[in-house]
Amino acid sequence: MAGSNRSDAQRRCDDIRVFRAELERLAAEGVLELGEAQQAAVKAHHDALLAGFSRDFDIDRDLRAKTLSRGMRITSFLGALALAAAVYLFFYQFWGWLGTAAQVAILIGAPLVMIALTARLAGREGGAYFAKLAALVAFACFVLNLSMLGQIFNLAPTDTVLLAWAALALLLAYTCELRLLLVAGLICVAGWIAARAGTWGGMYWLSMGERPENFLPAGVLAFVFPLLVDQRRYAGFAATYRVFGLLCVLLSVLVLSNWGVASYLAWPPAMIEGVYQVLGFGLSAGAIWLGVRRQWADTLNTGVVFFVIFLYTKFYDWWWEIFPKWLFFLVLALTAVLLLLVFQRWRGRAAPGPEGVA
Amino acid sequence: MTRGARVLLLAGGALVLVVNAIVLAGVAWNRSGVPDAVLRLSERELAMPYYWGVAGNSGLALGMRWRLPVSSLPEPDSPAIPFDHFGRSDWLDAARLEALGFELPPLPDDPDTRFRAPPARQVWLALEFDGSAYARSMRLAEDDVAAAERHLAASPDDEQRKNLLRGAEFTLREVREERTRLFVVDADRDRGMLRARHPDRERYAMVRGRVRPVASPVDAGGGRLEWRGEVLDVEGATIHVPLAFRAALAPVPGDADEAPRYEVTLAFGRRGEPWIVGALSRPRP
Repeated sequence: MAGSNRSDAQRRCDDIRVFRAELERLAAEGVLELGEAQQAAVKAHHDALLAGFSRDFDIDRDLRAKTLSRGMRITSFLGALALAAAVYLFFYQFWGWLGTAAQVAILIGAPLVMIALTARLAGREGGAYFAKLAALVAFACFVLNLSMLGQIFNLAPTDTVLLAWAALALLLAYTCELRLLLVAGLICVAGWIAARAGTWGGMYWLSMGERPENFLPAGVLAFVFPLLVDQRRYAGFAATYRVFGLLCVLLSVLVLSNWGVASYLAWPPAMIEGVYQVLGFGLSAGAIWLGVRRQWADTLNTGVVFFVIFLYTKFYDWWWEIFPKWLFFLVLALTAVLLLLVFQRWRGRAAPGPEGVA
Repeated sequence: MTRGARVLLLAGGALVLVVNAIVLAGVAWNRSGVPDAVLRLSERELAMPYYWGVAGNSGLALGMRWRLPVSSLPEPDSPAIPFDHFGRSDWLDAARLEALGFELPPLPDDPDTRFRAPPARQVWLALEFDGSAYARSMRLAEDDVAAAERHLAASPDDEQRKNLLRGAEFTLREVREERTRLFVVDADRDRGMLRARHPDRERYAMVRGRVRPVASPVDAGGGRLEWRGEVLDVEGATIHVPLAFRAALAPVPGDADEAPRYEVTLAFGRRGEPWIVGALSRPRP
């Protein structure tokens, strides 16, 4: 039943708000009037549900609270950025005057203190936004911890550090339901997978970007992960995985469709670019189809953006040199209108008619 | 405290502690036993950063300067090249690159044709300090001065020839007094093989670095191409200075305009990672 986690509770709360507004309208229009006893019973039931949700999940009970929550999210994000910068600059200002033992103790102690603070705030009523702020700073402290140890002891860079950062970022993200740290964790995991793929291909791990195909496995994995592991308890996590996965795959394909020499494939560069151009159109069209079919707005929008980019890139290749500039942009505009017409047609087909409602 | 918060506290704390323990154990292992190499370098090889004392960073790290031996002046051993640690060397040819594991595709006859350069690889590099590569560099600079002098002697009033001589003398003075004596002289996939070829542990240090094949013109005409290796970087080339050694590297009071002169003893450990084991301030001549 709805209410087992925060996102379900918030959805139920929104439904109750919409139900009450519509019930008032129906009563005003004389279509439906509940008896006083029924009204009182429904109201009491909803009030009890909302009170429980507020107590257990710190939900937004009305539109005003929702608007304020958005403001609080932005404020906690900016606060975390500023606090992380303050920690970083404070350490940089004084670390030169500390002995090695003191430097190491501070570097290890800082993330431990911030993790403890995050755990304490996450467990307190009304402490979710402060916990998110502390979680971001805890992650920044851990990044500072390992990167500064590398500097202090002149360590060789290693891709394994990405796994350590990813582990903490994902732990904090799932504890605090923080999508920003989920993205940070996914970037680290994708970087590690790409580095490993590059190393197996014979290159140095920091050169992973020289072969964009290194990022394809990470992208595919990120996209299918929410299909394999249920993410419904965490609001927006499944969409974040899908968009991140699509970005990894489609950006790599976009680069290879214009820069064939960067591919692992031992074909002529022009042929590689042609293959990846076709693949780019196919994958972005597939993302649009999947987005429409599964009602994933995130997947649909990402697919549309990349389909247009692939299309415009080809137009540039074909016509930028030979067309007058006004004609080139006119063609782009007409293409946009054509795409709008196609989408409008799809929308008309997808929207249920009167019989569908009935 | 909720269950999620308890998991975060335990798992997050354990993660931070375990990862740091692994890093510090690696540091201890690198520095244990007799160092693989110990080099006594000066400010010529370990340069002060440009940013020291500004931008709110109180830490100090020295930048390792290294060069590749070249067979002729002026490129890239010319004073016109401000950073002389980038470049290609004669010894890093196609055969050596293949021995390092690179699969080199055939190069096109037409230099405008697109081709695929293999990506960089990490290999072991031999750093030679004040050895035969530096002596050769000095000899080249001296030969250049001698050639410029002969050239001027044939036409003593020629201003262009006078300028050439002044330039060659400037280069010689720089090579003798200021430029780094640290050269990347060899590379191998196996560190042990590299050490066997360069057994002197007070002159040669083995470090990891990145090498990339580059298609270079065979001659100045730029027609035909051949594969040459380029050393992109040397790992651990930024050396952190612990607090205990800071005083020896500080600028001399009243001598603020002059860069400090010092001798830094650098040890290289089991993993090739360097650290400072001694630092002395040197008097200005």
